[in-house]
Amino acid sequence: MKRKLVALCACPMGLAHTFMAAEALEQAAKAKGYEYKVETQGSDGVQNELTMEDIENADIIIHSVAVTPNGIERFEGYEVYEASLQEIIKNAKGILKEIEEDQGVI
Amino acid sequence: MEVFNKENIILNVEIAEKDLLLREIANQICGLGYAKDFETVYSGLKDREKEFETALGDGFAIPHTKSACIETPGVLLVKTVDEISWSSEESANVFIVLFTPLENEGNTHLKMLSSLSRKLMNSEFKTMLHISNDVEVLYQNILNALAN
Repeated sequence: MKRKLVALCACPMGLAHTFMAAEALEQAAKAKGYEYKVETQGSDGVQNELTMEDIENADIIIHSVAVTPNGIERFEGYEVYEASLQEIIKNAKGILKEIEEDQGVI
Repeated sequence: MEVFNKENIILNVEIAEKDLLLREIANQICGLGYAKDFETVYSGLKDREKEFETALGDGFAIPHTKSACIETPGVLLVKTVDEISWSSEESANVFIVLFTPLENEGNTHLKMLSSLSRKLMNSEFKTMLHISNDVEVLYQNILNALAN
């Protein structure tokens, strides 16, 4: 069964970094064969909103945010990996690998 | 007003200092008719850089601002002759400038800007922006990036 990754990206203006980070995570997740869903909270509102079920079923949860996102309470009680937008934009694959190592899946 | 036109492509800019380039960008945003108040646009761009530098690496930066004085969203492509030191670690000579009014949720123009941002993760697209100085090529590629 495919491993599942969910992530939430948000930045103060919601114009650029949010979407670049989302794209980087999606590309990295795809390259590693994950099922993935990335929520963005940008100028165009909330897109791809993560449901409780999405979060419940995820093997990896990532937050890449530079503001306090809406709906943060959805993640209470779950292990959330945090990475800055810049880190994700520059090296999403590397960060995903670190998380996998942390989880002992490699 | 269109989000992007050929007039929004500004090449061979002979400015080598960050603050001067931000001024030039604000000047262009106003000159093209997207906003009227130069000072507000300029200080918006500048504050954004202070809060969160917009250098992306690979010679790219994405200065952006959201302000009540901006009338409709838009994009500029600015290329400088020399690389400008843009953060403590990065310099840049290709600038994708994004700007929008304050109130704009759910607007289709914002979808265009977000799809362009996503496209900036595509290395072929970035290489094209870096190498080409052909307005027609740059225009078509950015238009495509805005459209999906």
